[in-house]
Amino acid sequence: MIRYFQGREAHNFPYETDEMFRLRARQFRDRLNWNVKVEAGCEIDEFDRMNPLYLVSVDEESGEVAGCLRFLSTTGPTMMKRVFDQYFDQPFDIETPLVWECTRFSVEPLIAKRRVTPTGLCKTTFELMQGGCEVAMMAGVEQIVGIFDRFMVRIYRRAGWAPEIIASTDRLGSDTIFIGLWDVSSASLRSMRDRSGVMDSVLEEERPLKAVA
Amino acid sequence: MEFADSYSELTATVDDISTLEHLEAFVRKVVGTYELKHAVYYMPGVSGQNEIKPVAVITYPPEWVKRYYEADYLGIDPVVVEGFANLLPLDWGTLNKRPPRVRQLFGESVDFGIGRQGMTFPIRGPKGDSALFSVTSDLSDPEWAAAKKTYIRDLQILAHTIHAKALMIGGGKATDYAARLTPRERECLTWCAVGKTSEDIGTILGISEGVVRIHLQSAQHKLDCLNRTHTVAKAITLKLIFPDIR
Repeated sequence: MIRYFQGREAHNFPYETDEMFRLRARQFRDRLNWNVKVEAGCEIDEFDRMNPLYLVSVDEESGEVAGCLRFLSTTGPTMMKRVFDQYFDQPFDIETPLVWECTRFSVEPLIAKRRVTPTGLCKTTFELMQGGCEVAMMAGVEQIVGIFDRFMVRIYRRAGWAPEIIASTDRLGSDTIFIGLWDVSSASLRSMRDRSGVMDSVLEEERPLKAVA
Repeated sequence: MEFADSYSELTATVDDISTLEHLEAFVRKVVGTYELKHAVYYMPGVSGQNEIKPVAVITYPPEWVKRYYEADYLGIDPVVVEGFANLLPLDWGTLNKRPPRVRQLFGESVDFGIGRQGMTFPIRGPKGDSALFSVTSDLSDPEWAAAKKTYIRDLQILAHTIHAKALMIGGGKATDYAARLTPRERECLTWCAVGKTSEDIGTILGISEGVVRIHLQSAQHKLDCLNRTHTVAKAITLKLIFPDIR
């Protein structure tokens, strides 16, 4: 199940937020060896202070955080513009409310092992991808750009929603990093649902309402 | 098609917006085009070196605006409290209306004819500027659900265009359009100007149709335009592209 919240309401989701930052540290520093800043076991960067939208995949049985991703609107500051732009040959200075940037896509492998879709595939991955597509459609977003490594290209492809690779660079260290583009549409969602067998919305139905004043 | 005509009418007037009165007239036109009840744009301003003054456009009846301020609803209005700098549009139907003051606010707003449905589009700009654009409607729940799907894309674009104009009206620096476009965006626009489709342009430039669309969409946003034709026309007027001497 996907729980989603904005950075500025993260204090209402302290467990999810903390576990997400820890998962990101394990994924990007420990497993992928990316040059990310980790403090007290949490990977947090400047874009987490820019009120992004988080999607967190929550394990129904244990309540544990099984995966996460982060969205930013390309009308504001993005990693592509501020961090990655120097590494790619073509400037990809996209700015439109109809395109979001997706970064920090992470899946916890230990939990992923016991979470499978009706078709026997990785449920966490599908939840994040189907959920990302669903949420983007709610906002009228038409395309998503993302930054990821070679390993993820295979995962996305297998999930039935392959990003189109529009740029790559080897200048970031050992591994090739890609910029990819996803088309947000009901056809994309259908394609993923066909593969996962998860036909209903993966989004948490009752969002906990915040008490106001 | 009647609707397409109204949209092109919006397109025709957007470039001439230079005062608050113009912006108000434009917002009213948006309300008419999409058969909305009301619309509100609010930008709290940007402090610091490049100061921008707050800008607000409100089509609500003045009695409601007066009541809203008198009752000090701004501080508890969940639209304002929750909406700022969100990424997702906020449907007022999903708001928590249980706190007594909030219930009172929404109850009274219905009495003042504000509309049964409402939706707020949060806007975030590149320099940390943010704003809210809200629309209201009297459609029934199922009609509203359908209308949202149809119009959400247009309203996102319009919200950001209104914001760009408001920044200028609030005293922001005039946009240096030439500096904002990337070479790829200019290329795509140039081919678009001579009548090529996204698919054609993709073939010519050796990139995919999706990537062409993203470049054109981005150029449209950067030039504060509402559709492709509008963007091409403006790029030519501003001498950002020269399709004739290609």
